[in-house]
Parts: sequence; C-alpha cells; structure tokens
Amino acid sequence: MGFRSGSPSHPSRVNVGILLLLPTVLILLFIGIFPLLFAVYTSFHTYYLNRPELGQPFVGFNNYLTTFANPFFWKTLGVTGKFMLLTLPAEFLLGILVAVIMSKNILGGQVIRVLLITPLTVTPVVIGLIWRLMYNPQFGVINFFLGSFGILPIDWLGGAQVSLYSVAIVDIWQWMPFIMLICLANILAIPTEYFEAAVIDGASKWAIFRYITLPFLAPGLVAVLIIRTADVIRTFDMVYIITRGGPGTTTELVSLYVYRLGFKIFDLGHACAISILLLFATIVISQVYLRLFYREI
Amino acid sequence: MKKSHLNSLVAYIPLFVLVGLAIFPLYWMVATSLKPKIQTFAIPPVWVFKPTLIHYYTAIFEKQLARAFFNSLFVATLNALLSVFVGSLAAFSLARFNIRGKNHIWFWIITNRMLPPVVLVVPIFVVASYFKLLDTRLILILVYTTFNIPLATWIMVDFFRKIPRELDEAAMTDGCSHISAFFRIILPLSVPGLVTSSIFCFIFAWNEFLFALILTRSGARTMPVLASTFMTGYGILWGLMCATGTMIALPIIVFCLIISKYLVRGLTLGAIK
Repeated sequence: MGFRSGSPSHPSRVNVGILLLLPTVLILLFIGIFPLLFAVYTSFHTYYLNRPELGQPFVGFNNYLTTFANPFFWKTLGVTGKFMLLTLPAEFLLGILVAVIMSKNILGGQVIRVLLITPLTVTPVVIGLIWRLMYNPQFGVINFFLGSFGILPIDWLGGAQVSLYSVAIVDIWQWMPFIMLICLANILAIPTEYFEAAVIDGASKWAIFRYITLPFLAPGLVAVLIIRTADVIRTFDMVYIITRGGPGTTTELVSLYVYRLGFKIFDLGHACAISILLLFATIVISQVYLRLFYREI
Repeated sequence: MKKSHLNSLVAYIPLFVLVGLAIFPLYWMVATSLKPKIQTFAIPPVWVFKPTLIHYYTAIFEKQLARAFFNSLFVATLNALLSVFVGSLAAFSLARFNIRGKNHIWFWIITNRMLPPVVLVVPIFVVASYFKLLDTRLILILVYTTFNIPLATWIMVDFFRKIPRELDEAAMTDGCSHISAFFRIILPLSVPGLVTSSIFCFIFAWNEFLFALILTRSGARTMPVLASTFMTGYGILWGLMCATGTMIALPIIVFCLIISKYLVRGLTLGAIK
C-alpha cells in the first residue's frame, strides 16, 4: 500500500490529471458544496418554511446559541451517545468472536459466511419494517417465542426505557456481520507460521488470541470503529421506520431530530445550524480516519 | 489459515443459531407477504399456510408498486453508471498524477462519503424546489452522487494503486497518450474494481430513503418510500408493506449471493492492511 505517487510534474501530465478530476469536482461542488453554503447561510437567519411572511431576517449566531440552550438538543445527543454505547461494543465483541470461530476450517464455511452476511444486504427501511412487525407486543413473533419460555410480553417499541434497546438490537443484528467480515479477512491474512510457532511453544488459546490475533486485528478494528461512529450519526432510515423517534423522543437520534426540526416544525434556521454542527463532527471524524490510514494518496 | 478441522458440534451450534437469527427476519417478511391478512398476526404464529398473491396484486395494480420499482431501478442504474464513470476518472487522477492540493481534494471526497444526508437534505430541498426539480428522477440521480461518487473513487483508487505504474509507462513509450493508456490498458485490468464499485453504488442508491422521502411525491417515488407510505394513521398495512419490502430486498439479496466474492472484497476495503 502507498505508492509514492510523485512523478515528474510535466505540465501536460498534470493537465490531464486535472481534466480527469474535473467532472468529480464539479459535480460534488455543485451538489455538495453549494447546498452546504446555503445551509451555512440559512443557519445565520431565521427561516420558517411555513411562515413565508416572516421573511428571513439575519440573526447572527442566535440559532446556534439557542441550540446549545435547547434541552431537546442535548436529549437527542444523549440518545445518540447512548445508542453508540449500546451498539458499538456489542457489534465488535460479537463480530470478533464469530470471526474467530469462522476462521477455523469449517465444513460449509463459505455458505455459512454468505448467509451470515445477509443482514448487511437488506435495505435499512425493510429492516425497520420487519423488526417492527416482529416486535409487536401482542402479536409479534418475538414475544411469542419469549412466551413459550414463560417470559412475559415486553412492549419493545412502546416502552420508553426499552425502545432504545430494541432499536440497538436491530442495529447490532444488521452490522455485526460487517465487523465479522473485516475481522475474518484480517485473521485469514495472518501468516500461519505465527500460529504454528505458538502451538509448538504450548501457548493457550487465549494467549494465541491476545498476542497474535488481536495485534493483527487492531488496525482494521480502528478503521471500522471510525467508520461505524460516522455511520451512527448518519443512521436515519431504519430508526424512522421502526419508531419514528418515539415513543416521545426516546429513540430520536440526531438525524431524526434535524429531520423533525426541518420538515415537521419547519424551523430551517435551527435545522441548518445543527446540520453545520454535524458537519464539523463529520470533518473531525474523517480527519482522524485519513490521518491514520491514508497518510498520502 | 489455521487448518484444524472443527469436528465438534460445539462450534456448529452457535453458528447455526446465528445463521437462523440472520435469516429468520427475512423469512418472516416474505412469509407475511404471502399470508392472507387474517393470518398476519395469528397467535400462535402460522408456520404452514396457503400462500396468496393478493398483497402483491394490490401493491402492483392499486398502489403503484410497478412504477416505484421502475423508478428505483432507473435511478439506481443511471446513478451507478454515472458515479462509477466519474469516480474512476477521479481515482485514476488521484492515483497516478501529482497535483497540487491532491490531499485536500481526497479529504473532501472522503468527507462527502461520511456526511450525514440530513445535513444536505434541507438545503437541497430548497434548491431543488427553486429549480423545479422536485419529484423528478433526475434530482435523485444527481443527489445520490454525493455519496456514490466518493465511494466509487475510494474503491477505484485502491485498485489503481495496485496496478504497477510500469504498465502505463510501457504503453506510453509505445506512443499512447495518458487517456489512451487509461482506456486500453488500465481499465480492462480494473474490471473487478469497476464491478465492485458499480454494485455498491447501485445498492446504496437502491436502498436510499431520506432524500427520496423529501424530494419526491407520487411521480418519482422509489420503493423504500412507497413502503413507508403503508404506515398510515389508521394502522399499518402489513401485507402490502411486506410485499413491497420483499420486492425491495429480494433482488438485492439474490444479486449479492451471486456476486458474494466481489461483495466481500468491497466491504472489507480499507480495513485490511
């Protein structure tokens, strides 16, 4: 990895290079940057989509200040943070565990792997749909199964405390295979000599995992951790379908809150202010990722 | 790879449980789409039933499912083609040429990929409505490039970096220009990369929900949004929803199963040293 991409900067070479980049840059500029500039502009004004008579007066940093003073904003950050804490460790632990199991030579391993990946291939909207069906408190399959073990029915999506856990379970269901896949690929790339030497030296299974497997997994895990953190901020589709952010706002992740602000309350000024804050968070996250993994391109 | 056959059932049992957990929800959706309405919420759940196509029939002929299917297909295909084409050009430029500010452009491209759609959806809605592009397939094709072009670029850059520079140079000493070397030598060699990025771009465009929800009404509505419309204020039309869900998910699942090799490669990109 990492070709030194310096080549003699002959003018015609560089021109071709610029020409090749141009379509991408132009398209992303128009569809990416231009709306962002508009968002920045709007965040400094008051703009209620449903009250055009108010105009769009300039209000400086007012929207931002109001956001920080707004308890709903902090609530939604709390929900998002809690969601991350619920899903990421579980996904990673399960993913690593399953990857270790899958790395052994198992009959039908290929088939099993493909089957295990299926949650990743399903549309998030559809995932929300299916789990909403299964989580139904009176008639859903899940409570039925639990009932046959004598467990009382749980109001998965209606109980204020439970709802976030229910959504987290779905997210784990969906993304654990992703982590498993990455870890599996990394484990399979470890040269066998390491393992053979360890076995000869009489190392325990745990020691092998801790001193050989884990170090090789570490870079990949960090990469995925960063990617998944950025993903949680982006999560919208599945949660929207499964709970719409409810009951109340107990599962309202940041992205759902911005959506509600912009398209239910029509308060575009605030929605854009929070969007810009999210943009900063994304830039920070991607900087970390790039610094670690793509020092130069 | 550690070559020790796991004969013991100890490993198989958790794996089977996991596979069951992975597959069951999908099975349940397909089953519900084929069950008569009364049996959707039957207690105990009905496992053996006489399948009916009534939900599909209603969805296609009364609820615009065929149109939504076409919209999804049209938008996803065109967007994938556009994104991969433009992205490959950019990727080649980034992988081979030494342009000032290249790292900044790369950073900006990656950040676009990580950007929450919510950030863009409000301004794009206002801009699109100004240009009278709301509820068109075109706006979706354009908007989806914000995450698909970076994705295609990302995947192709990795592929191009693996192709030795000597190949370009050999071609150019034989009299090719850069562009010509690109089309004749490099591109054919990077077909796996093109396939992988096309697949992912297609899948992400096909699955996309938020932009489609905001930017379309009944004209250019895609299937994920159509599915959400079955959650009415009066209750959820489960049969219709599951039928739509099956139409959304099944083509992709089947497709992914067929090309699972490429899929694994693309998904693990950037996370393997």
